Amino acid sequence: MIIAEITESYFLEIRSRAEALKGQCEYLLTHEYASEAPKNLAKAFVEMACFFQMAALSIYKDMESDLADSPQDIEKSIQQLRTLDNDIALIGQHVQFINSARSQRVPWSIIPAFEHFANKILCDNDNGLDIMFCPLWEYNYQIYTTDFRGFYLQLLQKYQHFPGIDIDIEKDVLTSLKRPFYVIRFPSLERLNIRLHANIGHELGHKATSTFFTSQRKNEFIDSIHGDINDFVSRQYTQITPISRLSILKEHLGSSVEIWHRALDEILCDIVSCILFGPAAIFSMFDFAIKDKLDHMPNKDVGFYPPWRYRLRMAIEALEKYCGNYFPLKKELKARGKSTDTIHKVEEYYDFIKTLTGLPNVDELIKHDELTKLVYDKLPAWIDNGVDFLLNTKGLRNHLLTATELFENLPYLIERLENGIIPNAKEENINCRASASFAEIINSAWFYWLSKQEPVFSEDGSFNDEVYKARVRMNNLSLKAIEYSQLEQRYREKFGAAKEVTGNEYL
Amino acid sequence: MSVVTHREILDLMDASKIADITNRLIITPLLDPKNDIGPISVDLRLGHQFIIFQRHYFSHLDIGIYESEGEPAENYQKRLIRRQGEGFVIHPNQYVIGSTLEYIQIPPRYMGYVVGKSTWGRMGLIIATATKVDPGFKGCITLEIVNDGEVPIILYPGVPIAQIVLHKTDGKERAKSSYQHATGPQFPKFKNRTDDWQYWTGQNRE
Repeated sequence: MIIAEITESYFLEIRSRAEALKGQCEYLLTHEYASEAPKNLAKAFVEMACFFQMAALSIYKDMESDLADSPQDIEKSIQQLRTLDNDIALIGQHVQFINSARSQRVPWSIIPAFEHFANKILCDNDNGLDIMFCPLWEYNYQIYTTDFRGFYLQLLQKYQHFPGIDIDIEKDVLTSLKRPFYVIRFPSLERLNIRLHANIGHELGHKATSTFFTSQRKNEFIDSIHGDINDFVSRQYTQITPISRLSILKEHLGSSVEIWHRALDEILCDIVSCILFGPAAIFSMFDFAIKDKLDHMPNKDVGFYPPWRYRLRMAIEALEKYCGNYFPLKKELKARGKSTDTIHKVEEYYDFIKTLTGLPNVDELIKHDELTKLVYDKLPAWIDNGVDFLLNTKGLRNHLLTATELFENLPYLIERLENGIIPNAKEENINCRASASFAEIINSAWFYWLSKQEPVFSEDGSFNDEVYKARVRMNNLSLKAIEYSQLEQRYREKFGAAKEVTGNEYL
Repeated sequence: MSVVTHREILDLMDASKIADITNRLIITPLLDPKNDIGPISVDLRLGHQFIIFQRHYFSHLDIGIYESEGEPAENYQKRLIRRQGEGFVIHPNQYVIGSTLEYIQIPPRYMGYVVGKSTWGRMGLIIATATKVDPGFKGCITLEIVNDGEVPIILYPGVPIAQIVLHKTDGKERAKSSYQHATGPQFPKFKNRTDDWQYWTGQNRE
């Protein structure tokens, strides 16, 4: 009798949690979102909550008939309820993505452009994929490289064969999620900081590099480093038994793979950002890096993350190697715009970062740990290998932002920002206009900002509020530019090129 | 003060004729210039953002104390966003602040008047109550929209809703508007004139 009451009560709690999940998602569906992605996820959760209720009922009914049976059968059914309960709790955690994606909490005007851009970069086929952008209170950018739709499908399929459940999960439950679904997060505090959003290129990189790290490549790496690590272990541990030596060798090989994987992954993602955004990628990386120590040992304590100085160095090398000659900047940049310091200041900033990343501090640090040094010595060759994979196998060559391309419209966009005009296009006259790309707009914001004239402090030493206002204005204008650019692109896809205006229309 | 015509509008937007960008007329993005530029006006589309009053949060608006006691304007008003294809229902007698989709720069020596389009007018919709746009203004123009008709009307972002008529001025002046560089509808800003307002409303009587 007690068992019956306990299970009944547990069933009620599970059903209530599923109901709460449904209720919260229905409530969230009444809010505004910058794109359909959060709404589609909320709709899927509503259906999933109903499905969970059916599954709970099925398990309970099965349990009811088992109550007269063995305790093992009851235990099995309780275990099933527990699994279901955990799944509901897990989906409950995912509701935070929807809640945080409400229009007021994201840079709403550029979310469709972000989604479109990410789709173009990440999708390997014609079917497309869905990407949802939402803020993160932790100060970081983040991508979940797992396909959420695939994950939910797998999770729900566990219950598909239960008695009384006759449902096609893909058709009836995940109706609103038709394509692979990914989530990218950005630091909430930087919602409107357009320059920093070049870091999204890095997150897209994680998805692009995920298929690079095959077991074959991992084994290749192990083969290439095995001898060196064996020598190192032999030198370091002379007084141990062969079995202990083997165990240490295995442990070191494991660590070296972790150091290699993490370093290579992060560096390749930085390079993806450079491929997509050119110099803006370096500037936004540096903006992020400056908040942290530039040098640290890439050990277990820091999750084997490579040091910033090394990452920036590799990114700059890749930018110069693959994207063409951005620096020294072309004189044409000076030709437009009132600021003759544009070239000088941007170049000075780039050179500063390059000099800083060239300092040997990080090399000295790495040198102290022989295992790390062995791995890092092998990285440059692997980086070349990885970039080749990204450009050719993943097709990023089609998205490579070259200096020639960028500098064609950039002076016009900078000129517009300098004059308080949205940098959404180069507009020569009513019939001659070129809409700016996402990358061009972010670069124009960076170039404008780095060449700004206003001092941060006034003569009396107080903070110059005008600089802050200029920063807000630049962000607003650039965000609007991305919105316009996307809007115009979609309009043109629908209606074709704008009809020529002759000037004689009303004569 | 003459009205600027179609051909002059095109010239004002032409970089080969006006090299200095600050002297150029900018209306961007002009999605359908052939239809958007009329004989003496340019059509303006409705933007995606709206500001509505949160009437349930306050008893009245008093310009004498508005914002002066540290209350942000957001307490009185709420910003809403409608995506393409999503309608905004404006009920009879309802007032809402919207803005043009386009970002506009009026050259010095020119000014503009924003007027409604007759199609909307016939439905009872009043587009702009503060219609003057100063020389040198840059930004999305805020529209004060009122449904003066008898039935609710659905507004869709992107739809042409207003038009700007440009006039040449006799002298060269530039605006110093507190709404300069707006990229959407703006909350009212009284702060710049707090002392003046308070003087006239008797708030700082000593």
